[in-house]
Amino acid sequence: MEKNLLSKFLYGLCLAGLIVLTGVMIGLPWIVPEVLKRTTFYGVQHYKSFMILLYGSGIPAWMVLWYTKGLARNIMVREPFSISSQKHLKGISVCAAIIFVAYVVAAIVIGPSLSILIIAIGAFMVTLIGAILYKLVQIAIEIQEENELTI
Amino acid sequence: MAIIVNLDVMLAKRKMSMNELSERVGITLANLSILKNNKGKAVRFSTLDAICKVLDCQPGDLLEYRPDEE
Repeated sequence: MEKNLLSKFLYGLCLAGLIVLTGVMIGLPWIVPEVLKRTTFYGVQHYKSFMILLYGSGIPAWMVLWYTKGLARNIMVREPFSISSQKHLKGISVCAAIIFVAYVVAAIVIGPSLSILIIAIGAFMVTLIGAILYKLVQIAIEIQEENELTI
Repeated sequence: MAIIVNLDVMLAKRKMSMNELSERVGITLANLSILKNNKGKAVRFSTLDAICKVLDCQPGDLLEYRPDEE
């Protein structure tokens, strides 16, 4: 029962994250100017670049959360090693790669600030882990199928 | 796959139905169907032993090797 509770909690967390991220992305045109008021002129100068970066990386980030929600659902219904999980992991890896590329471009255009570099490294790690887990689940599916078809 | 399971041939010879074999061997009908339709990936020795005991035959009567046509 405890295991199921954790799966439901993770699923709920993903749903909550999706709702919050949707709200933030809709409210970006109002949030960013408020944040920039408190920064130096440097931040104000790159307002448009920041907005493009935030929307450009926000949409793949929303997709990553969506795929993670799908993974959490598969775990909840006790079908972790399925084609669906494989597709979700591939999606997570691809979207994280897009975020990584977006932040690398941002580092070149806006400047290599610490936060941009940290997010880029984080996105790269998620890409790598997603790709490895995709391969892991693929092999697990093969083993599961062999086990199920062993009479 | 190159290994063919001639379960239906042996069932016809012993005049036994799949249902009866399933009950006597202790395997579900679904699993027996997988075996019969050559969809299985592997057979346990214990399963082979149980089927041969019930059908009074040798493993060679049930399993046939047919090379893949290239």
